[in-house]
Amino acid sequence: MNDSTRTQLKIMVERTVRPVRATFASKRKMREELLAHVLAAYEEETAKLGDEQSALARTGQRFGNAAELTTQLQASVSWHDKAAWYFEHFFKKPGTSPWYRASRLALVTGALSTVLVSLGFLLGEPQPLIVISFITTLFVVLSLSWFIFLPLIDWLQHRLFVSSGWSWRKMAYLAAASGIFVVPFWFIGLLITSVFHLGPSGPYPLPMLGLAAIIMSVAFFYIARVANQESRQYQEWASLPIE
Amino acid sequence: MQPIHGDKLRGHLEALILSTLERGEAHGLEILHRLEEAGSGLLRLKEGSLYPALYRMEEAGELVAVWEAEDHGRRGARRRIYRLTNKGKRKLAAGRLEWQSFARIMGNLLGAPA
Repeated sequence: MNDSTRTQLKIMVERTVRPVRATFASKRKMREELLAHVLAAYEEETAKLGDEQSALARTGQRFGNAAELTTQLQASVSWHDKAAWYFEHFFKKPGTSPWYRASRLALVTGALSTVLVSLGFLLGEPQPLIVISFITTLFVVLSLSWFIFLPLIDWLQHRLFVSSGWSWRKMAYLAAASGIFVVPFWFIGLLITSVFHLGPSGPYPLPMLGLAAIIMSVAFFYIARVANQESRQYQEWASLPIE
Repeated sequence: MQPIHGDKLRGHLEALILSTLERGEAHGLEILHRLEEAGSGLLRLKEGSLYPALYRMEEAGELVAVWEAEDHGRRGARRRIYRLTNKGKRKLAAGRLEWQSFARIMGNLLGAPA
């Protein structure tokens, strides 16, 4: 089978799957399984008819009308997947810039933080002004950290996965990315323990900093890899002309 | 005999799928082949319609599915292998009883033996 035929079969699948409101993971499952189906059906038809164009047309007839299949697929999406789709669509809309996604996440984090701080202030015991200021600052920092985290993941996935294999340069990128987060969070940990008297006073133990750096590097690598896979798959299917 | 198209199959598709899987686990195309064979080539189903039914039944816990280990030359397009669960087996048994009752009643109404 040549690439052009494969693309035609992918378009057949994409016409039914793209309009479905389901999470990226669900649609990936649908795409892969339906593509496997039409590829196998096409092979059967080619063996029977011996002509590629007729086999392609016959595969389309067997597969069914795209709009009807979309409706049926949509009806098969579970309620929790639909709920997750709204969440995903709001925070991770494919094709949007990391700055756009960060602003949405910052908005929600900021709103939730304001509600929490207000509730704590209204319902809780009166707290010293320094504690309230500290918590508010922490939430503001958390909201704004999306503007570092998401562009950083975007940058990292391009640096780590453009070419295969490992190099010292890639290790340095990963260390730098995790360092940007580990050091401020280590400092925040230090502040929390001292403000709330949770631990021993003085410098936060240095081994914790090393452990946090390792955990953060692994987490960054994993998140960047997943983001890269999703982005490549999205681009592969989104580039198909289905109109 | 006249072919039986999708409209007439609606409402029975899930029971038909369950009955084909009673013979053993299978991927989507194999399920369709089993249906075709059992229906002597007279069942006419749009093949894409099988998958929403499979997803619904999987969600309901009547089937479980696993991805096949290899894509068999289909370049990243693997099939999923479906298997009946105990819940699916119970639903199939209930579906058979329901069908027997339905066929008997329709036979009586239409004046033909079921």
